[in-house]
Amino acid sequence: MRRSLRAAVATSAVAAVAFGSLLAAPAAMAAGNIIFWTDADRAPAVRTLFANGYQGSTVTVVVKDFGKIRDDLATVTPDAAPDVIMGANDWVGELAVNGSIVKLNLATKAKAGLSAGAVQAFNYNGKQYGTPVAVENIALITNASLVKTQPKTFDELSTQALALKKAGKVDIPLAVQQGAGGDAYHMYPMFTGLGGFIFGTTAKGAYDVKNIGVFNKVFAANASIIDGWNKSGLVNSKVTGDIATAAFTSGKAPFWITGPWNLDKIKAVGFKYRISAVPPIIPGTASVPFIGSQGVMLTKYAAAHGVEAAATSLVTEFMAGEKAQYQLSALNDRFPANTAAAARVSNAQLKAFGLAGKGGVPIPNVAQMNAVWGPLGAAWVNSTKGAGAMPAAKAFAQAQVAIKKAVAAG
Amino acid sequence: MIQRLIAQLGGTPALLLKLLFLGLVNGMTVWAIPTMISNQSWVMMAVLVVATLALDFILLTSRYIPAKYVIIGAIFLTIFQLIPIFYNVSIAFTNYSTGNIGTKPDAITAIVRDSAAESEDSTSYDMLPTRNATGDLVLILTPQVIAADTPVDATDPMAPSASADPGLEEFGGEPAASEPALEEFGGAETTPSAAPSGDLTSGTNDLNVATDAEASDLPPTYAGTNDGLDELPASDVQRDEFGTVVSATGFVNVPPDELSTLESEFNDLAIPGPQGGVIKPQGYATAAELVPTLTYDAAADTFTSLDTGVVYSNNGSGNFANPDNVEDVLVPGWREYIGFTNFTNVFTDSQIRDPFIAVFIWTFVYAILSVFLTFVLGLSLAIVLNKPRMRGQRIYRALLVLPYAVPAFLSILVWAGLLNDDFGAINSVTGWNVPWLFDPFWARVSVVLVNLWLGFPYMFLVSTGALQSIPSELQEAARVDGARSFQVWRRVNMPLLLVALAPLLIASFAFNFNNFNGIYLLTGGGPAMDNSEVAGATDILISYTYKIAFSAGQGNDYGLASAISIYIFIIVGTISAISFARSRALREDRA
Repeated sequence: MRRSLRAAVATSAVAAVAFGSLLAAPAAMAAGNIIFWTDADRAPAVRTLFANGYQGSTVTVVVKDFGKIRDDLATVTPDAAPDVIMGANDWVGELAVNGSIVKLNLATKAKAGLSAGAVQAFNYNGKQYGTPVAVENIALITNASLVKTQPKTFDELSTQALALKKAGKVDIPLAVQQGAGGDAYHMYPMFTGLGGFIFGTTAKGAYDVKNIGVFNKVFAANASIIDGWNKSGLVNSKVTGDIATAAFTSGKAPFWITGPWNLDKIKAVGFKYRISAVPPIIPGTASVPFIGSQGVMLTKYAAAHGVEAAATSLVTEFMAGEKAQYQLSALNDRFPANTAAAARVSNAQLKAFGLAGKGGVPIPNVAQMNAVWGPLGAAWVNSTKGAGAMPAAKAFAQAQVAIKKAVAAG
Repeated sequence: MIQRLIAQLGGTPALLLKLLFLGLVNGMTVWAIPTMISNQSWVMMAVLVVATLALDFILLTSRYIPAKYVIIGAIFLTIFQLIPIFYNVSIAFTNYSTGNIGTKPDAITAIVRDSAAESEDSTSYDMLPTRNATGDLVLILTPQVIAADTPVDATDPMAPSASADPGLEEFGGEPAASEPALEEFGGAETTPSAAPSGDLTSGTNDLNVATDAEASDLPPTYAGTNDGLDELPASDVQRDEFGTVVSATGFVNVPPDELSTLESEFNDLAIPGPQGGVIKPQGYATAAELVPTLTYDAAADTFTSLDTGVVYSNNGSGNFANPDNVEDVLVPGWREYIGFTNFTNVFTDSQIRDPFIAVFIWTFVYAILSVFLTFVLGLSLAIVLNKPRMRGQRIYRALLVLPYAVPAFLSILVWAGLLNDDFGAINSVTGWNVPWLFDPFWARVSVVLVNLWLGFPYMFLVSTGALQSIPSELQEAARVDGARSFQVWRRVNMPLLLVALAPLLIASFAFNFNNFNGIYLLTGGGPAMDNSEVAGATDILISYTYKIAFSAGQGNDYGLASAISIYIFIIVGTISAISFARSRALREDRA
């Protein structure tokens, strides 16, 4: 027994060391390796760009669900953490106050080559936290075989749409998605068209989260227009994303408000269509969409991984450039933030989406935005749910109070 | 059979298997230790080492035979139950939330780093890493200027521009003609070349002289070392056709594939700049001068603003804050133990407290209704299908179990579509006009009905099993004694059933009490209640917690979420304990 015990201990010790060193070996080789988290849509383009590494460093592309990139960054272990992430501009505030991403310096020339609005979208508290690579926005898609003349005002749109509905040619006059949970993002052109805004700005240009304009005076004066839409059935909160998509693509809705992520479905329809901005509701007030921007950010882990200079160079020098952005756009159907790459975009539909986004507002990147989506979406749902809907003035006044409370509670 | 197999495996093969297993376990420990040291997770390391040694000791000696059967289970219990519980409880006492997720040293590093700002008229530099004659790293720096002929698009973003009516193109059918003019796109300010803050032409320092002079005048080029900037004679600098510096006489370019080896040399560079800041590389081809705006005093543990002179001190709850203005805090903060604050917030914060009662009551109603209805329906079907004479018994049973076989989240999403008030199949097929998801009352009916659909097959299965396990002699004996069928059912079957099923009903209650999917995927907690901004009419405690913790205020509040989950544990635990005690009493009384 004694001898077999000793033999056993010896054997297992040998196995332990062998196995341990086997597992430890790859970790030692990890120096000079940039870990890049991206979503599945952009992964092929990113893989192509870095097939041969970046300036002598290897690049490991890790594919994550887009939203998971933000969530996992807060909980990842330092070893597996990314050095560079692909993300949305509205994450910047949260990631910056967490200290997960670090401030960058976009060089004068690089900045000049990018859409200034997109650069600004990655600016939080006057500090630059990312390089924008793409911009996207929603637009009004019109079924050209049902609607011969494109409406110039929202009133015209309403008249045409309701006439088609009355004639039994369509089921849904204006397909814009909401559902029980609400969708303040897709309703935003109508929101701005009625004079609403979310946060004011300070003299320095930063968001003033204390100044909430959900139920400002202009919007309050126009709120009864929403009640009209609800009464006529033009806008109905029971339309979900699936219902809106199905209705438009089957020719059962003359108008659809959606973004370039549905380009594949739009291109597949059997009728002619136009892509344009949502027409103005009140004369002189544009119905502008939110501009979402995706970009690359540098994490705090790059320094610990010993690839800070390489990762910084990748983010601020390479990804800001025309080549990288054009390639991403070509494979991902999003408009590049780099103006030279944008000039090369040949996809006419994508360009039309770009035009429709003119004057759009970047999604505020402050963490307080989390407190806005719910109440603002609920106000739309409550005021446009058909029979028994709440008057819009009441619904949006409630949202204003709710957002104010939530921001103050922060 | 199994015993024979074990006997076969005894002796040498078993010993080898055991050694292989232990070798793997020890190997993983050896592998994990360096990582844990580098992460400074000492407690986890101690637990791991002790557990591994205990496993070796117990399995390799024959002194503790009973322990051999317990040790592995105990280790898994620790890993998968005790550690998460311990972790959850410890988080509940911290301020772990958006803005306070890291350690204090990390926060200090980040504050220092992010506070180094580009001054108003500071410049970006084109950078060329080179080595001088002695092999030291020297950066060849050229201020970046934008050519004067760069077109400036001065579009007012909010004004309806000329192209607001862009002569709409029709797509589809035939290939679309390409559009001639490209419109600038994206964002509020559509001015590509006029950088908002760093207006180069207004620079007053001598570095920017070139921009004030003719556009053809090239900016000067400097050799930058930690001693400062040293202007190079124009004749020593070689440029390409775009004016970019490609080499400098007396300096050897660092080959591109060696750049990745320069990390530490780049880090050590801090070139004193003309603005009083420090020029640091910002990648491989650019550099910028950054001026610190905050200084950290390690002895006093304070930050001092160099602009305003405000001293930010540790506020004890994970942030450096201005003592005169509590809202003026530096980000990021760090994780700090804050005692019972999260627990008391539930009662003191009106945002959380006000809708709590309504949500609390509805949670009970939902859980009890779910258990009761699924049990009644499942049991009824079980009784009906338990008749031995029934034909097609198996087919019916298979059909009834189907809802259970489909993943719950899929069924819920399908139901959400079916129940849509105006476009859903249910209203359009029946011609009803029931506001299933948009009216608070009907939304509650919907979540209970969908949960009934999802839950009855389980109750049907367990009831069938329990019914079949009741000895028929008992029923026959009761009948012989003159009992009618209802009496047989009431006095014989039901008590025996409940003995078997009571624990399952309690478990089902606990499950439905926390049935997040059933609520969140169907209604998202909605429709919104009039008197609350966070809680909806169908929100149960767990979905309400989720909304408070993850979608209200400023992002995620893990500390608060953990505290509420502990409350939920206490509630469910108490109810379960009482119910179990009563069902035990039931068994002792009747059996």
